[in-house]
Amino acid sequence: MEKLVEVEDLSVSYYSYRGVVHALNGVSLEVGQQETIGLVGETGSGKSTIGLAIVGLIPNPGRVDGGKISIDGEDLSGKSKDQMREFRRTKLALIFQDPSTALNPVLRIGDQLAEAFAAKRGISRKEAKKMAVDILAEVGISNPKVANQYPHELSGGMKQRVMIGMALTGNPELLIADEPTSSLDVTLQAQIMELLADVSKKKQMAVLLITHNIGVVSRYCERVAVMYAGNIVETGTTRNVLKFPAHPYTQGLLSAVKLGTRKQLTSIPGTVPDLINLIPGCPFAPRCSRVMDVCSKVKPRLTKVKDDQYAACHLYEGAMPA
Amino acid sequence: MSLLKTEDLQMYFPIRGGVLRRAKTYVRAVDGVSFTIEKGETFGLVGESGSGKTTIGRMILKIIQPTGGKIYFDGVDITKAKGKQLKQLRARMQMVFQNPYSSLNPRKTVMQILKDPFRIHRHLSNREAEHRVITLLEMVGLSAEHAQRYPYEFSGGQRQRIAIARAIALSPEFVFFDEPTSSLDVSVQAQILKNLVQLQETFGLTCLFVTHNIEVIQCVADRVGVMYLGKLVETGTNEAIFSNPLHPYTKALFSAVPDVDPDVKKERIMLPGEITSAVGKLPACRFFNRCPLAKEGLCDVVEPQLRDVGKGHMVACHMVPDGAGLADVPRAS
Repeated sequence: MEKLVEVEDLSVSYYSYRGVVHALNGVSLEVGQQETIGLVGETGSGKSTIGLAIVGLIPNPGRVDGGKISIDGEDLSGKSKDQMREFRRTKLALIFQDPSTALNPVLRIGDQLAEAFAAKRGISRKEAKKMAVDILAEVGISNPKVANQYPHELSGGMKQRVMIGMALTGNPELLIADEPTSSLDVTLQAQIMELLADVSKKKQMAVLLITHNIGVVSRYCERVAVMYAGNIVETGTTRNVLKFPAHPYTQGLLSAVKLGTRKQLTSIPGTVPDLINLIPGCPFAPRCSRVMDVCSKVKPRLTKVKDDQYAACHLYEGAMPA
Repeated sequence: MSLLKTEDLQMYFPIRGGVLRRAKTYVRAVDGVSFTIEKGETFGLVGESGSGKTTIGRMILKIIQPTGGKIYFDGVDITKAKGKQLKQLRARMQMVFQNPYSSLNPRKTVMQILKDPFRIHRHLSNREAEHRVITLLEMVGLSAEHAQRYPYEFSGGQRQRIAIARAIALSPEFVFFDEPTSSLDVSVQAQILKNLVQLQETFGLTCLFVTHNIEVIQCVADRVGVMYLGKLVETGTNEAIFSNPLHPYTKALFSAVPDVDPDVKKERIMLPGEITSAVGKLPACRFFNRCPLAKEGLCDVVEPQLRDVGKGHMVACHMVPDGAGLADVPRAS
């Protein structure tokens, strides 16, 4: 598979008044052309930060401390603000969790879409307006009157459809979807995910799906990366990782998600580590049931567990060199 | 014996307008819901946003006054309870809210928050109350050192533990859990649920558990009710509902939840459109517009009533034949 995005040893920190929050600590990730990859993890694990770093929109007081991101072989690190803007315009698109804050409340839906079309494709306003109506139909809003409505007149599901339409205005190669269905009910979540899967196939886009919903990853992603405390702890094909999780955190996470019956309830003891005062070694060591001496001293690197599956855990180091 | 019983419970919120602020129309949030909860049982209500599940809990706890119907608690009609009777009731029924960030007073320490129930209802001495608070904290997996801290010093999971401690402080008979884990991460969710199940068994609590998370309901509930637009569309034992969902809405709802196991290929029923608004005129069967089985001339004219289709499995749908519940997997004892 051709590589589209390559993230190498990326570190991002937020310089807050409480101290330096180490949001990403040397993360490497690849996204193939036209691939749908899931990025899962709990709150604060750094999954949204990766998405924002790729599009070059890490908010203040955040900074990229190290590492490299390249898209289509082009290194993004040396790019100026304007160059990055141009790059986003032609190649990237983003969808956020809450569509009601992502849309402009005082502009009609059609005008917002037309504005995006005009900016991205350099066409006249009149043409852009027509395209706006067409794109709405493409995302399942067949009623052309919606183009004349304001965001507050639409339901959450409809707004997310508009957001997907907005993302499609530039024919992006990579769509980063950050929790696109987390604010929606399950039956709507299914509708929106089907739509995303549908348009990404039709437009030949790669999708980086950031979510905490492992069920959604299982159904829609080819590959998955599991994050914990600013690190990718396991990655591989969805089937391998979800059927035969290698990392103790992935194992714990999956059993916590499955719930089962009352008697089967299992949980990971403890809480997520403080990202200001990083501990040496493996960040999961204090909660891990299979912790060894080495875990509190040396930080494990992603190691091959089997074909198409890597885990950052000392249990596998030395066992099978990558 | 049943501890709680609702009969034809109804909550219409008026939408006012015009110069005289007269009710122009109503939001029928809950429209004729009847169920019973046995002593020591956990009854789970599932449904999507706006289906009325939280409103039911709030009516039972007397936070809002129903516009119709009756609520019986321990055999007594509490629909019109007030004053002294209401205060006594409050000690016997408690609630845990969805958002632990807004349900704890930010200006009080954990000790002050947890002492309140003893102060108000039990008139304990300060020392005795403090002693009880420490015991409570330990029961929910916290310790004495946490007592002097303020809510902002805790994580979401820890805050929810404090909220649970407050709810069980007076050993109530009935607790209403309103989406207690939906603002938490999954690994924390499992911790909290484990703690809840433990406490419930220790105290023999009777619970109403409301959530939109179907896996959570399957995990904790003994019996399950499925709600759609203010109506109960299906009820039955946990095993019956999950092994043999009968109402077309229940089926679609369950099929929409993607399974974690990539090898499980669920039959997917895509529902067209979205949940209709509960304002104004509604079709006889609330699910008529989106139902794959809907029959014109029947479902839009005659309202389906909850009826037993075998083994106590109740469904409100014209298209489900009698006896369909006989295929349920029996309840494991």
